[in-house]
Amino acid sequence: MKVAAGFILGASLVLSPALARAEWPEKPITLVVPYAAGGYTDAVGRITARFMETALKQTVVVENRAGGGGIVGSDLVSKSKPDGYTLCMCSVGAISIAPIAQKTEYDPVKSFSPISIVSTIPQTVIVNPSLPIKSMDELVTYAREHPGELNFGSSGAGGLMFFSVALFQSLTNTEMVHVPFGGGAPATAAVVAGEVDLSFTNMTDALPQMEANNVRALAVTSAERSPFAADLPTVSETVAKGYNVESWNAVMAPAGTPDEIVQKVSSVLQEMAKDKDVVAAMANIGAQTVFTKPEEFSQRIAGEVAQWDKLLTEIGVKK
Amino acid sequence: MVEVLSLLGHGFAVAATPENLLFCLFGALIGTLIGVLPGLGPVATISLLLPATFALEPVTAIIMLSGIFYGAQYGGSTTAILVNIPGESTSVVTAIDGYKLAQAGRAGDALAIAAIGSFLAGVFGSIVVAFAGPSLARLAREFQSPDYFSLMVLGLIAAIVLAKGSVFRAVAMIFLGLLLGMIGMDVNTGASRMTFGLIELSDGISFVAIALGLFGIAEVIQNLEGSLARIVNRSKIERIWPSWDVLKSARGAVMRGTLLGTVFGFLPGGGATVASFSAYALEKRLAKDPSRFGHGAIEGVAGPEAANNSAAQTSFVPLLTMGLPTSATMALMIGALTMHGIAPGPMVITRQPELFWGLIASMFIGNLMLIVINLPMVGLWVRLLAVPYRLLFLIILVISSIGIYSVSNSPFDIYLAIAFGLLGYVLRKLDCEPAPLLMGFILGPMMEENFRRSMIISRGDPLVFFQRPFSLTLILISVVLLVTVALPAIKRKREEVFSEEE
Amino acid sequence: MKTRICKGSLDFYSGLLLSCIAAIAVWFILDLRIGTPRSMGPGFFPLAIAIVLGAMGLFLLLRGLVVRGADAEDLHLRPLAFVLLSMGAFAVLIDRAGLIVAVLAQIAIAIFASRETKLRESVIFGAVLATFCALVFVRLLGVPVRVLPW
Repeated sequence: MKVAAGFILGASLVLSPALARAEWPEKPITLVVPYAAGGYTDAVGRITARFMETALKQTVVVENRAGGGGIVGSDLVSKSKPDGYTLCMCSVGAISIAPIAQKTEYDPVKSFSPISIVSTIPQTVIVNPSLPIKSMDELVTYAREHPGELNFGSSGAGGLMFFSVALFQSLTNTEMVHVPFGGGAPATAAVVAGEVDLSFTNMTDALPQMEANNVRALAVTSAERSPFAADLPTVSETVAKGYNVESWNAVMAPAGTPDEIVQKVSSVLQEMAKDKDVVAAMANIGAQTVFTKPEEFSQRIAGEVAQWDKLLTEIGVKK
Repeated sequence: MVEVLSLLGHGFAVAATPENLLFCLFGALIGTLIGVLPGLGPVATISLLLPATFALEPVTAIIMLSGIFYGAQYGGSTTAILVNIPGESTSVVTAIDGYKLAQAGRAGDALAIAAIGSFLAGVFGSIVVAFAGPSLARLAREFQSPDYFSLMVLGLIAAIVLAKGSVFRAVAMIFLGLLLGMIGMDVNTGASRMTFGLIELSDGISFVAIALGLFGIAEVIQNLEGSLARIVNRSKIERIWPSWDVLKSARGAVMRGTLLGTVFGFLPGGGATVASFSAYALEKRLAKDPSRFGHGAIEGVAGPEAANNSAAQTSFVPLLTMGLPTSATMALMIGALTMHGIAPGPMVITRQPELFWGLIASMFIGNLMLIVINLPMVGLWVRLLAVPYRLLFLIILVISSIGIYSVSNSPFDIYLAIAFGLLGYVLRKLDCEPAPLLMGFILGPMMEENFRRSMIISRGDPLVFFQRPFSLTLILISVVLLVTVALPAIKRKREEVFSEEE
Repeated sequence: MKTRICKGSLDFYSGLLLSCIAAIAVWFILDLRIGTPRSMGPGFFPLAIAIVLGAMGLFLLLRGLVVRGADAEDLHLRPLAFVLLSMGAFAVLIDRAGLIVAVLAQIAIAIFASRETKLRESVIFGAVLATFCALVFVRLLGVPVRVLPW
């Protein structure tokens, strides 16, 4: 009887509103991953959730809300209560590109409180080895001499694999034919089989084929070289100065989340970027662990939105 | 040959450690369970259990997850047979004759044949993977967009054969399915098609929602129309084990289905689905009396079940050697492997031999476990049908609802299933069958995608479909099949016309 | 089907349903770019399919009007309405009130779908089923859903 009474007393104390406001987090946090379980972003989400759990001493539940290339889940978070208990493992596609290319109910800048990018992954320019193309310069020369002959594979018209090539074509004045596949893996396999000539493939998908000499890698798409393939030049240093396409994953909260919470998560993520285990786990999936301050991150999104807005208007796929 | 045997021996050494055996069994059990629970398929389950595997060794994790995958193949046929709910595209055809057998009190026959057929096919598929996997995978690489398009054409023509009644109605249902399959984002342009402004529909209608609605929910509504006592014929329910005659009549079907499945399983993108109903079409064509099909023909269960299980085994080859997923479940497997630091691709066999051969060895062990688990369960499942329908239908409705919910953790798919339950019920009343519809729904998007891709690559030349050996062969088979379907129908039509004139 | 506007109501209603679906589809597809066979837009394939479906529907509809054929069976509204309503109740409640409440509400509605269900038996059975679901789906398989409303 006494135990029961004590229990009820304890429970009512925990539930009392005065205490509830005192310290975040006092209940489990949901980290929404807007992609299917088992995917790349899901992996990043789970690594992050595990670290946050130990750092915050609170359960962090990963919830997969896949659909619409990340739009469904991102939309859900943007409309959630900004109390710090619903966070998003967002990614570049649904945040920086989709709101321009498609109709979304959220605004990439206004609907979220960006916290920090946790990982980045570049794309690799790969070509079928039977082609007489051994460098980025040769690729550009070949493409200019044979306009409309080279086929490039992508994961579909709404994906980064397509937009990165579109940006490349616009900067290098080349013209290639877009062949969409249902995903990154089949598009990469098509380069191996020679069904298409090239693709800008995620580092994770490209590495095994590069190691088996099934494809020839020419460059990486990020601003700096990748530690996973240090001998590959960047697109920017070879043929298209300023070219920078990188896929990122970041923790974001709904707009209006209290600043203390944003700062607290930010400091946890700053710690995480230094954690050896996390860096190793991210490397396993081909990702580089990074940290950005909320303000820097905000500016980065704004910059990317401007870049894609310009390109999409130019190639006429803006919504 | 000797080398393969020694590598396989090494694989067995990996797979037979107590820990790996335990998790293989655990995977097989979970797989059977979720296969049986309508709605909750391997995709949802593997994504739910994925985080739990992080604590395991990579080999152990992948052994367990594959156990779930092929365990679900066994379990999925159980639900298809008992309550007419196909959990995966490959068990749609199993439901057609399996459910009729169950209603006639022969659930035991259907379940046992499905289990035995799956086992034999699974073992055969595993042997092929071990001995010829990598070289067949290289051959499968030559299979490109135009060939896939022709494969889908063959699949759709095979879908006409699924029809019990009017061929005209079956074709109309295929077209309705094709149309429903077009809903969602267009891969080529990113445009949303017929989504009514709902972002939930941008990835298309979920298979689970449409299959459960058209089959399961519509079936429940129809069963509730009248007296609930007569839904299952209980007179013969006592006998659980199939007689020797039944086994003998299923033998040929199992062998043919196994071969079809083994070959098609290598093709990422629809291979297994096409295999299962090509097997059905083949059995119906070969049968002396095709009219039994659709009314409880045991070959209609044996062939497709064998096909989908051997395909389940061989579909691991494109996954492991190319990193190419053959289905949503396989895509999850890739995720699981990458999270364990293993990049599926051409290097897996040389770099992680213990993983590759351990997995293959575990397929033999897992299939053996599954037959040991499933055969005694047949009795249990058959007795489940003895639960009065006034309670059974509640179980079906509740578990289906949770199952659909768990696919994307949102109630949206339940609303879809309600809509398709209504459509399915009305279609039943109008003598329109759901199986061809579902086939059109599954194959349509792949067909369009591969057609458009072929046309882009060939720069608009339709001859591309006749210039490639794979594609040409498939088209010729389709034409032959179409003629054999159309001729009797035309003949019958003429007879009908004449009889009406009298 | 007492009013005989047609000779074969099975064909007539099938045709009506299919042509209506095709018409709705065409209405939405016309917003999309159609393109040509050589350069297909997103609307090309769906439009072609919808047209064939519509034609097949019209054929059935006309045949139903002209040729004597089988009649369609009646719809039974009672099981139809209560089964679908019960699922709707589950869908509405699952995120708001948790699994147990959703299951109980679903059963409470579903038992009206047939005259042969027994109230007391169903209530007890429902409670057992709800517990079973909570154990298997939430505990064992880890479906992320609340069990209880609080």
